[in-house]
Amino acid sequence: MDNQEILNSIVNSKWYGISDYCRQFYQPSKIKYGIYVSGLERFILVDGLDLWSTMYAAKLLSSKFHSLVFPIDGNIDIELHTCLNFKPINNSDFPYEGQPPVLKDRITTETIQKLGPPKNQDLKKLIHDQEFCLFVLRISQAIKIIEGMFSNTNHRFYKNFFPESVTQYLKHGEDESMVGDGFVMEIEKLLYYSTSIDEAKKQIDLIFTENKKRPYSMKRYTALFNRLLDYDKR
Amino acid sequence: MIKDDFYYSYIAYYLLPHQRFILANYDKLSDGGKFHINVCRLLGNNMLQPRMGEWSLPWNVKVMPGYEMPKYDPNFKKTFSDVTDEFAQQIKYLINTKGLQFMVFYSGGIDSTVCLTALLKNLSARELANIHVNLSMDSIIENPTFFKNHIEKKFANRIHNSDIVDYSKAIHTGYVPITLDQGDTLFGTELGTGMYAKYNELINYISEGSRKQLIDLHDKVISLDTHYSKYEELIIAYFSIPKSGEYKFNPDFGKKFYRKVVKNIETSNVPIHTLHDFFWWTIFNIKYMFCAFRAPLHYGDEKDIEYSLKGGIVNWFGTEDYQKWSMANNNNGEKISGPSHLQYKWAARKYIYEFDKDDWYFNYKMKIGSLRNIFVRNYAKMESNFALGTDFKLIPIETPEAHEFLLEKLQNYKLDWL
Repeated sequence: MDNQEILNSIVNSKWYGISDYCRQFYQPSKIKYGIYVSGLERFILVDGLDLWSTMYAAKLLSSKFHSLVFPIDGNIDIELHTCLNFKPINNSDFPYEGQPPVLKDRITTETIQKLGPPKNQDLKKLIHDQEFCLFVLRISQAIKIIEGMFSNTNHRFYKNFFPESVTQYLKHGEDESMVGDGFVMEIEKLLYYSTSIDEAKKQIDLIFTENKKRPYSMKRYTALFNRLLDYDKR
Repeated sequence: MIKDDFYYSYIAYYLLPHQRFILANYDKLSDGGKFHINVCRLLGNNMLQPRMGEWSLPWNVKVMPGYEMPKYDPNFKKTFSDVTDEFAQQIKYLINTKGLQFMVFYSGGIDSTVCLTALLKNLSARELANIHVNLSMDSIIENPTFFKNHIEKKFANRIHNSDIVDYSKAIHTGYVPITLDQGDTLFGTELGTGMYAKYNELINYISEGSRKQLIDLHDKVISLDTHYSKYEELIIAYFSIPKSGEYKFNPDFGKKFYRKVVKNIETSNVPIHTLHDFFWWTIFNIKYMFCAFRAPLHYGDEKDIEYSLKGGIVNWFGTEDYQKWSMANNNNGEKISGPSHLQYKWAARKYIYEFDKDDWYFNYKMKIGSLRNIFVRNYAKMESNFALGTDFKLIPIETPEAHEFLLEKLQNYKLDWL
């Protein structure tokens, strides 16, 4: 298998596409969004759907690596199965301070270069890691919708507007799901800490099975999660 | 009157108001004086002083006793793991014999993770009760898995949250601080890895005739068949680029700085051959004292400086064995296994990985400026002094005596290595 064949294998990932239901909320845009892994000096993900869910995924992935998020001109021929060949020009000027990802200016044809896959890396391992990143991105896109749809019962956004002396006593779940600190928060935490798709899926399944005792509240979250991700099929 | 007798000198060049007198008098300085200030344009400040070989300075700086470079021993056989575990055993001994309480200033980076790994590996649960961890939000999120799996569980009630590093406070509340400031000096990171990251861009600065050959040499930074002088044009280009965009590309300075480093190498008795040797030597010899003195001078009170420098602060990577390991392990893949961000501090990565088996950290960790918040909060203190006397007194820069001293010295300093 040559290098590009190995890179192409990502299109066979179960997480490559999005569900029809998810398409109602995300449509391919003229601009793509890339997660650039600073140490690797390559883009590990490129997606054409949404800046903020890409940024959100990068934050969750920051437990694994330092990254920058770039909008990328739509006329640049860079996709998920080729992005590991690309790096921005003058990347050595990027400040690498603090682990959280930073949003950068849009990449144009003048500011990107195609160099081939990173040297000294096991490409098959890299694709394995890329797939994990893709999985995190897809889950991120789904839970942002879930958060939006159930936002009337989600108080996390508002807590910072009130004194901690008051809110510290409000220890109920973040939302109606009654799962831990809230359904979205629990999924975020497990994505942040898990190191593989299998591990993350086991923990997601645990959230669903452990909370069967609250069938009404969890049922809506589970149904929406499955619908957005075609989760049962993956 | 300022006595020309220092253990350390430091000129910062961040155009803060109290540095402007240097700029205002720049044209009066000798070529040597201008060179000395222009080092700040390359590195952000000039804190360079040698432990070995020739490296002249405008004023008299001595190596403080206890900080001399050990004798080079090519037969030094201990591995990085050996040295690290043995040092942890020394901490264990001090806990058991003297009941000392230690405080590790954990940044989340590779160096401080090595330290905590060593302590976790070598100390019993009872002994670990004497280890406290000082960390910040930045530290936690730089390596959250390590925090969750090890720090949170095993140091539960001994975690101190701090966005301010204050070694004096630690000392005066009964702890022995452990600092990890010298990791970069052992591995030759920062200046070297900064150049490797810019390699393809630096090629554009050099003559066309040399480009092809230098492109081919990118992967040979630790190859024993490639002497650092083959990269001379590239190194000079790198040294010509100022740290701040407000200054111009200065190849005249780049050449002078390169020649000064080469002169130092040629007058030292440690073998320096490859490009990475060259950059390692720059930090191991010439920038070493800045890394060794940073904690006591910049993150503590003046009254504690002497005590801290004489062992009051444990400088984990400053031991003789670590330095001997560093000198005996050039170009064998232990310092860097290649020129990319993900290949530096290889021995340290392996040490951590053997303990925590975190593939992501091992494969993707790169150097992050995680102490930026701390530096920012300490800038005023760092730049308000320019030297430490051999009486362990700091010498402030913003006095008429200091101005007079600096101007006189910078007007008389010569480019004696050209």
